[in-house]
Amino acid sequence: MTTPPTRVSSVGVAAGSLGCAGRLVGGTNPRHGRHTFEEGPFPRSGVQAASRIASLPGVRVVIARCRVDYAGRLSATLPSAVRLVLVKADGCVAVHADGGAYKPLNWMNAPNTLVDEGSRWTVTNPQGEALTITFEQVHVDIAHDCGEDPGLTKDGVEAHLQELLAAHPTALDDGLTLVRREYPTDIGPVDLLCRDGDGASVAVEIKRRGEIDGVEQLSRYLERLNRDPLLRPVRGVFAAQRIRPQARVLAEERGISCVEVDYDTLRGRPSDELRLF
Amino acid sequence: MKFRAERGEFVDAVSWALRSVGARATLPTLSGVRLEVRGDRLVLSSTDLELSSELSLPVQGERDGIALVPGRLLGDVVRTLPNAAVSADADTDRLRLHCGRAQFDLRLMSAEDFPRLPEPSADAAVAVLKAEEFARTVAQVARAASGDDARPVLTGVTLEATAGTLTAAATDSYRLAMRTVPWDQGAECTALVPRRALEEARRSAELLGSEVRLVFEPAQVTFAFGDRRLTSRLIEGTFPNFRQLLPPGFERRLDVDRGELLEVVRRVAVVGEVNTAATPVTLHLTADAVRVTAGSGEVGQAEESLPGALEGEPLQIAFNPRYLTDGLDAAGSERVVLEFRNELQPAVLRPAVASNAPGDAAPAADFLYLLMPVRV
Repeated sequence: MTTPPTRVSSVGVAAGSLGCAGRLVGGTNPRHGRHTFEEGPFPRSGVQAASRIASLPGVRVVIARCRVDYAGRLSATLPSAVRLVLVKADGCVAVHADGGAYKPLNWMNAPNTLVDEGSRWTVTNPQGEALTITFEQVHVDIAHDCGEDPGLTKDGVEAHLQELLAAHPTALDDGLTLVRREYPTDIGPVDLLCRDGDGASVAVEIKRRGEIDGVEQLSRYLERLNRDPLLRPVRGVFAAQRIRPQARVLAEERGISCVEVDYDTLRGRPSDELRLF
Repeated sequence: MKFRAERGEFVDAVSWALRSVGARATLPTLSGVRLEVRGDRLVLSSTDLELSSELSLPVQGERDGIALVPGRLLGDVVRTLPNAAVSADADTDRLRLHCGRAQFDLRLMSAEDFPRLPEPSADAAVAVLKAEEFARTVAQVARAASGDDARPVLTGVTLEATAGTLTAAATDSYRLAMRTVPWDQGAECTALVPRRALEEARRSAELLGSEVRLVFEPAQVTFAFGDRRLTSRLIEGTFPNFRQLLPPGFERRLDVDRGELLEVVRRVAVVGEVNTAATPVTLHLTADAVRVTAGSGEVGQAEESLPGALEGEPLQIAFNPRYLTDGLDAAGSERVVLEFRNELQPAVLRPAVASNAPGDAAPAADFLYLLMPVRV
């Protein structure tokens, strides 16, 4: 190393030189697998091997001129260049270039063992794969605790669609009224059970994307529901934001009607698009 | 079944019949073309259950009979035939084709499974249109039909016949194209015809010329061209009441050279085409000029001006370039008149009737294109 690393203090992390000792323990293969991260304290200087195992309190971001060698199912080398090396709290190690979207040039999914020898990190996993990062010049080395991850909240998920369609079953068909959400059958609950204007039962399966699997699932429910003398005949409605043509063909062949629903309209948010009607 | 036919006529007939050969793997029989010899006529038929075609061809018939030949293979074979008379002889499972010194031995499909084609009933409403007029109407209107199967009624063209006129209209909810033509025989009926069927009928009309007989029945419509006939099932459902979409008046009227505006919009719109969603083109209308601009921060900008006479206050209004060019292209006239209320309400595009002074052009009544603007 020719430049001292940038030091940023963070909760439980003494961002120090790359001479820290650390271990990322366990591992599968570098492309797939679960990870746990265990590492030792970041020593202030020097080249030391891992001596103690502890939980990494946050993400570590290193921007450095380095060379990366992978040995495992094949051998690959990234020649010396300035790269971004990420060590996540869960133990994943990823080497990025300044480009190529989200995808790293090389990565090791946790669980891994990281042996930090200062200017060289060796990341290994139980499959015997090894990623060796040899640092020549470190420009940035920071660590930060990101805290608890609340997870990704998706908009338009099936549960919300189900809720909205349960509140507005007429969006599926005129005269439809809700009998019950999650109507149980012995192979699992059907999303909605409704009655049409003539009092006949209608089973509704709701998907975000309407594919053949969804039609098969609804067909199985219909077969079960039609055994119930109190319900039969039960017809099916397959509802989704978009229904693939293959799924539509299969559904129609089985007498199941397909309805594409507009999520924004259901939520009472008219689309920004101007239409004639 | 055995016959002898002229190569040109036979090739032409097979190519025409192939238009409605079905591609569904679930019903293999639909991938065949049915040949039937009755006396000195050869009848070719095919269907994909939505569109059926049938034509009759004069041949030298030697033995009556029926054969179902794989359509695509037959098409590939006849296209390569040398220039000589074609003779065909089919037994229960083979068709032998001879043409010059070429010989083909094709395996047949089971003709028993081939569905019976719908035939127009004798007492159905019939009307006759000149083929050219019919083709022009379909070309102008069908382009506004939707390609999205989510709302099947919008994928069709509605044909409304009243005494003396036939109105064709299509809309995908962003634009509406409508044309009214004089109607030779005044049958009163309405039919919602799939766009594809009408496009096939248009191609046939362009190819064959003369007249088109339209036979309207409750569930199907037939387009007959002499010895050929295309029958399409109709789309079920109610087509939107398109007449109520037409604005009662306008506040601004632009008279502009159609070809010039079309060219400018196409050119300027190029900067938006990188994105999958069409980048709108904006028309900046002033008393004597139209400035067309398009572009996005990511790609770049373009602008070009052209002369145009505006009655009313200046206006800035944006459109999906494809829908605008579709309308301009369909209008077909030298000049067009565009009527606007404001930047959020639909604009009406009509071909202008030729006039000495460009500013005095009056809109023609028979074609109308209603176009929704885009909010920018």
